[in-house]
This record gives sequence, structure tokens and C-alpha cells, in this order.
Amino acid sequence: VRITEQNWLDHVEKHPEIESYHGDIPTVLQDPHVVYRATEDEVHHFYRLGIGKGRLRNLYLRVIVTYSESGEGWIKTVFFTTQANVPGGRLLRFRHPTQGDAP
Amino acid sequence: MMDLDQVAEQLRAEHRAFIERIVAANQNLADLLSREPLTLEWDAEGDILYLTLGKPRESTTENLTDCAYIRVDPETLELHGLEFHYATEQLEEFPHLRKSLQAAARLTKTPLDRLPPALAGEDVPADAATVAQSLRELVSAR
Repeated sequence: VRITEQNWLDHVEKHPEIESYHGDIPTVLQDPHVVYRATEDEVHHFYRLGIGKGRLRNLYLRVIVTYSESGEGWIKTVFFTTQANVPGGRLLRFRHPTQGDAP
Repeated sequence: MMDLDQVAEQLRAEHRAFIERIVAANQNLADLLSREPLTLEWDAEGDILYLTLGKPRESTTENLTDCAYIRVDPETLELHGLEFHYATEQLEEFPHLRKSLQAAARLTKTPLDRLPPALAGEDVPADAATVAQSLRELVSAR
């Protein structure tokens, strides 16, 4: 999964709260607590708790990735979110931070 | 332990309740729009339309639909902005969205050549109260 430097700077301009969390993106993608497939099959939403600080401490860091037909992923956007739900999407994974994976 | 379908239903219910809280927390939207400058920007390459109150600032970002997002203060839930992904397609598909954003475009005096073509053409009221009402309906109708 990739993101260009310019693309990251564009995201930070619109979502300034993510500025200091660039280094946490691999953790979200490799070990998410929640994963949704969006209504467009090639778009996946990855969520992870326990990363945000201050007023963001109870929120999910969420990374939205678009995959090409060859399987290459591009980060579409990154932000903090309170609710893990994608309307019309399909929940693929839910792992409670203390209770483990839902079957 | 709940299975994934049960968890998904619970997450949907929690999400609906949270959006209701956001709606309730923004009853004074007209006042907010009269205090905070509103800007409308279109990222043509990504086809994302951003409606921002004041300057971009620390927010929590929630889905209104699969393609529309609302940004609010993480504690007060006061509106900070809206984002529309796949904006061109969304504006063509949903007339109420187009009308709301046309009003916002007029209010912000954003040059039409910097916005999706679908926002040109119609003459709509552009005072803060009308835009506030229009945005409130947009969020409530998610």
C-alpha cells in the first residue's frame, strides 16, 4: 500500500489532526481492529484503536485504501473516526481490543 | 460472543445514534455560519468536494453515507465541515445534495470554474439561514 509525499501533505491540509500519525499507518494496515469492504469492492476501510492522543484517544485511526486490479493499494484518505461503520459496506473483521476476534 | 453479522448490526445502531447526537448538537447552524467563514473546495483529481467552516482543525470524521462524511469537534460535536467523495457522480445522482451545495457555492462566492460543473446553472438563495437549513436537511436525510 502506497502514499506519495504530496498526497500525504494534501491529506494533512484537510485533516490536520493526522499530522503526527504518519508512522502509525502501517500498524493500522497490518493489525487492524476493524476492516470493512466498501460498496465499491476495491475500497477497504481499516480501523485501529489505541493510537490517538489527547482528545483523539478514544477514536479509531482509519485508513481508506483503494486497490487496483493488480492488487496494488493506494491510500485514499486517513482520519480519526468515532464510529466503525461503513453504510452499505461489509464487515470483514472485528477484533475487540480486549476480547479478541468476532467469529 | 457475537458473530460478525451481529457485531455489524450493533455498529450500525451505534452509528445511527451518534449521527442523531451530531444533528442535535448543531441546531444553531445559522449562527455558526454567520460566525465562521465557509469555504468550498474541489479536489478535481481525487474528485472530493470539501465544505469547511473556519480553518481545518482537529475533528472526528463520520460517514453520513458511503461517500459523504461529516467532520465535527470530537467533544462538542459542533460542525467543522463536510466531504463528498466521488463528488461529480454524487451531485448528478442526488438533486438535494446538488441544491445544498449550489447554495453553499453562492454563499462562499466560490468561482464556478473551480467547482464540479454540476454546481453551475441554477439560481438558488444564498443567505446563511437558507444554507444552514439546507445543510441540516442534508445531514438529517443521510
